[in-house]
Amino acid sequence: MNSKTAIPNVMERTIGGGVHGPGERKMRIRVVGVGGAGLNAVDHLAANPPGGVSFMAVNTDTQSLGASMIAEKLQIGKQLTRGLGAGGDPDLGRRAALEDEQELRDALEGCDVVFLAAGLGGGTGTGAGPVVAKVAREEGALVLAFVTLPFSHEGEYRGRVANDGLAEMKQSADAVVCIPNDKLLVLASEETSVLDAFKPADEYLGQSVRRIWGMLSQGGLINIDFADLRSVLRRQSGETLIGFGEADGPDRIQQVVDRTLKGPLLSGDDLLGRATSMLVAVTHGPDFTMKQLQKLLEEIRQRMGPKVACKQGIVVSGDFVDRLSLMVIASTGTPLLDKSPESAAPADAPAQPEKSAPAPRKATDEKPVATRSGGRVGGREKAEAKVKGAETSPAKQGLFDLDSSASGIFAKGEHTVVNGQDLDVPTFIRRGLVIRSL
Amino acid sequence: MFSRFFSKRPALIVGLDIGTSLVKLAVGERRPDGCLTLLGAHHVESRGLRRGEVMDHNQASSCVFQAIRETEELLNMEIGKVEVALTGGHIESANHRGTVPIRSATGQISPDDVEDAVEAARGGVSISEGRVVFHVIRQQYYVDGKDGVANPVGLVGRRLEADTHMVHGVGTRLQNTLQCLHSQDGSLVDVGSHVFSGLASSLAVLGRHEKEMGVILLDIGAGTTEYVAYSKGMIRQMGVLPVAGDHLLNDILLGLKIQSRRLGEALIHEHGCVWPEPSGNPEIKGKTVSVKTSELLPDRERVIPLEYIHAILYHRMDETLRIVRERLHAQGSLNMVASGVVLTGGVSRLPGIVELTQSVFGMPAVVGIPQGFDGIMERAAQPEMATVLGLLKYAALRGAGEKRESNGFWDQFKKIV
Ligand SMILES: Nc1ncnc2c1ncn2[C@@H]1O[C@H](COP(=O)(O)OP(=O)(O)OP(=O)(O)O)[C@@H](O)[C@H]1O
Ligand SMILES: [Mg+2]
Repeated sequence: MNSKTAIPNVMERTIGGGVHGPGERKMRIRVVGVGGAGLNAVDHLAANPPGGVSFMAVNTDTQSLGASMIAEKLQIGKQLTRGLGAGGDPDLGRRAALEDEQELRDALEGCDVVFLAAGLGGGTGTGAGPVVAKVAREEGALVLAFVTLPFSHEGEYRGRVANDGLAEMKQSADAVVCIPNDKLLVLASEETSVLDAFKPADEYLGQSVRRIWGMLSQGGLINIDFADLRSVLRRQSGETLIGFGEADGPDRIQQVVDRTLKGPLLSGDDLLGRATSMLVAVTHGPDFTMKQLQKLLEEIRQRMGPKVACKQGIVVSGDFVDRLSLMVIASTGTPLLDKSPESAAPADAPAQPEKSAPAPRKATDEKPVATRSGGRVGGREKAEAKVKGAETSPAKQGLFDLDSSASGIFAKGEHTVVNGQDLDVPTFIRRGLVIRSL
Repeated sequence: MFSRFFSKRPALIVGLDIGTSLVKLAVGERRPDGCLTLLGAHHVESRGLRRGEVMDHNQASSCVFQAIRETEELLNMEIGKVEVALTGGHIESANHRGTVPIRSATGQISPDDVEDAVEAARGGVSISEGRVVFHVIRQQYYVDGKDGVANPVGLVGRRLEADTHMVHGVGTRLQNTLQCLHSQDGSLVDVGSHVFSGLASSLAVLGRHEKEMGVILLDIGAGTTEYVAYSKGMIRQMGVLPVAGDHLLNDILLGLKIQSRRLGEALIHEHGCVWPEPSGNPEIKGKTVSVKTSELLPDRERVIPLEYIHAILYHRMDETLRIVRERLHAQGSLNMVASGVVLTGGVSRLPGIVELTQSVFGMPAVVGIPQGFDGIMERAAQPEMATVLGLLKYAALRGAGEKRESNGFWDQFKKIV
């Protein structure tokens, strides 16, 4: 019954192998390394790149840029630093980035998602990183920054610099995943070389990019799309955690949750309890039952705070018989709604979120929205509206997607409420079943 | 659109059911022996309706007129008057008894006494502002407290009581449905009677014996679920829950992230099932279906475990049936039912619905097929045709002198609305 050949594999990519955005257009994902540490991390990923992702190296230091294997390089602050680096001065790093703002803008134009890697504590990563993030956001991208904090033995000054940089990064990027280098020490043995010590962090960035890209590109039973990711990540001064794990065998539910939420880089963090939104992506086999899925989600929920709004994606794959793969992305902070260039348009300001129904979407429905960087595929506009609907709802329903009450056939008009239940919200959601909505 | 045809064939009746998914028309002829011959039936897809009510007059009206014109062409006739079904979540009903003393010196009951008793029942109804009573169904009479009197005229007594079943709803909302017969371009078709959809469906599929034994009719369409409970041959309770097939569709679209209504409908029709306890069903365990989810990417198919489809539909249907059951139970109607549940409306085609209904109600359930027509084409002997065919029966009964309502509801509408 559960033989691998009998069950079609839904992990197959869509035609062309691309990741598709809200308007079903090919999605552009770019990984940008800023500063020396950022470059190293991105180099690591570029050595074994996931298809459909482009890379870019940004630094003040000519030498470090030359050593990078990434083809697209942007040297910033040529006049200011003369290619010698920012010398640990974040202000210099920041001004270097501003000097070449237009180049950055051109390089990031049209990106849907930008993963930004930077080490905090030095000059370029700390100072230029937030500028790059800000420019990418202004160009319309969803910006997810991966930053490291210096080892405590690097001294108090670096620590302070890094913390200021982190605060600034939280303002500029949509989401910030923060890895204190001290956590890497825990993983390292006596023999681990300094370079190898960073491997887990580089690996973590690589896995995160790969898995997020994979999640967006797969047509699952319940898809996670760009708008979902965006609604979970787009926060005001929030922190983000990304955990993933796999497990097999009869005890796989418990194990996969432990592996995902107790990874060495995540441990000792109370972020889960403070999370305001999360995204859960599950890949399971056709042998996995609805009850098991509920149990899995319940396990996750138990480790989260009460206020979390959840989006779920489910992929059923014949390759996952007796096996389970999980990714959890959780963010703290308050939802950030209206800062993207599109939605800041005046017409959008006081209006109610337009609740988009999953009615037939014709290509002509997608009106292009003009931004100052030129035309943009308008699916974005709808996605934003949907996100608003989701995020402004009170987090009453716990694990389940709040979005669904705001969409569907009965989105508009008077709702039918019987015994305190809004019957226009799908029953399976109100009864606590797993499947989430569009 | 005034009809020469009708003046020649006064026994022709046209039923019009402006359903949320389909506008259905049926044309019948009352024969001298009282039987009904079905001459034809037609339907077109409806637009501008939600939950059984008109949301967009122009859209709904144009569908109605399209259905009327096409029927006229098909049957080579002109339609000047239609019997119209009414529904909506605002519709409520209740039993009311009216009592009057017999005025005549002999104590013999006159037709006026009967009207007075009914009027007294009607006067006892207190409904909120804006609501109108659109059915006063006479159920039975009591003469000096003795029940079971079908026709009291001519009997002698001192006191006459009339049991009536009143159906009322918000006038403007009912009016919106009737207004579909006035098109933008000035065309106008007369409304004969207007009948609660659930009542019409019950007339089409329920037999006398079932009504005596006690029976529940559920008409589950696209926008609404109408319920009607009979016992001892009389209506006990009627009502509408504005949850039905469109909610099944809604849940599927949202739960499975399907981008188009059309594809969602197709999925439900092809793979839908509401068999009780889907998660424990070994027959579907591990089974998947490949479905299209987006009209934009017709080549893109997604593999979905059947279990999910069944579970989403099952939970919605289970909840809907439970709410109806609860409402019937609250009024004591459930205990009075010995026969079972009869299902009509398009959703009664959904596999597993009979079993699920049986398990929720704890009594036998069947799909109701309209009956009692001559010349009925196979196409019309379908559960979703119950309402429109019931309209023919209703009008035939009224026309045959079994007119049980006072006249002029239509005028009353006009006055109130
Ligand atoms: N084979 C089938 N399986 C499942 N559902 C079906 C099937 N055939 C029809 N339906 C559903 O039945 C509904 C239509 O039923 P029907 O024609 O009785 O409704 P309607 O009269 O238009 O609406 P309403 O009475 O609610 O205003 C639709 O939701 C349709 O999807
Ligand atoms: Mg109907």
